[in-house]
Amino acid sequence: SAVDQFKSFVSNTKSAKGEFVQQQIKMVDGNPKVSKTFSGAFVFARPGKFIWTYQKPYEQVLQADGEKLFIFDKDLNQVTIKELGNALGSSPAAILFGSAGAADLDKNFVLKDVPSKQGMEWLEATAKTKGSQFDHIGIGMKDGVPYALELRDQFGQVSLVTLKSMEKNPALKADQFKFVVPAGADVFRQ
Amino acid sequence: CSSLPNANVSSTEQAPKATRNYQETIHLNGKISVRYEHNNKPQNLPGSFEWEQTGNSLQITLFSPVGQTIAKITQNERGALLEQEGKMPQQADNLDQLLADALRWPLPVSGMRDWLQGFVRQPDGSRTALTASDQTIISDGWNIRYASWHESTNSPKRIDLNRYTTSAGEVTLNIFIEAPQNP
Repeated sequence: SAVDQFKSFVSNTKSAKGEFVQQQIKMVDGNPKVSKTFSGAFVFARPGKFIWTYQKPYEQVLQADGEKLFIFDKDLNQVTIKELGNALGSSPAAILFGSAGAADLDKNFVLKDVPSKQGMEWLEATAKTKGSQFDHIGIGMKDGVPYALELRDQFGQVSLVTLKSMEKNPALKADQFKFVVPAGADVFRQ
Repeated sequence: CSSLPNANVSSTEQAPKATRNYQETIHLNGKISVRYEHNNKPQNLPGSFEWEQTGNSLQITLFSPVGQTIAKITQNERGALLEQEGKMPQQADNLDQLLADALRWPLPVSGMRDWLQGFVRQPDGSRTALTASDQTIISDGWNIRYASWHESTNSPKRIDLNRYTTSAGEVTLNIFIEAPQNP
């Protein structure tokens, strides 16, 4: 089932990298319309270390080094630093890569199999802690790997994230997840 | 005071500056980072926004860095409505006041109708176009720095607004506006 596949992915895939496309889908007069499309790359290492880089249409980096979450916005040239703790539940990267293993996953999410669609087996993850800003998180599994993520917010807007060319257990540099503040950027600690 | 004629037009300025007319109907996208104080702890909200203005009606949507909707503000002849994730929608006549109370930080929407397009309201209610230069003006109690402009559309690119309020302390709004599609 999708839940079993996702649990074994969380337990066995300690690190991976790849690319993603994210489509923002709004209902306009009853039918879905893609309002924005983002693309970028990701790399992660459990637990709690990931870099989720939006490259297009603008550059923005979400980086977790296991303790802190760094959000860098290139247009504003600003870095926001937050405790990783509660910020974890709110981003696609955190849902897919944040948990240390299946036990940690169970601690944070209730997982349920839902009917398959688009050639994938799907599960639904509901965050146990009230803070998660998504009220619906769907994960589409294919060959044991998460291929799609469906995040619906309370305004009915859906973010459909598709992961591509995922490479498991890639060679990672020792300081791969150490965040370096870009020159001249303003830094705000929260 | 009307804006001074641009006396020091440097020779490098080949293309004549696109004249800037106020657009009653305009769609703007960009980034907004809000800093304010709550329980005297600094709060910083990075995100992006969509500004859809059609005459008097206006819809502003605020997004988190991962594109999830945080708040939707609607204003039309019937009044103003604020929808926030995880909260009940709230209605009011005065939008700026509703936002200051509900968001815990002030979003000066009525002023922004002019400032985002590089205009400022005169005491007599008329609008004056600002020259496209790095300058700071004061309006409605806000210090507004026009740090950079889009050459192509002669419209504002980076605006930093800042003021002190008793409820939100030192408030700073850093705004980056993408060049409007149809200036």
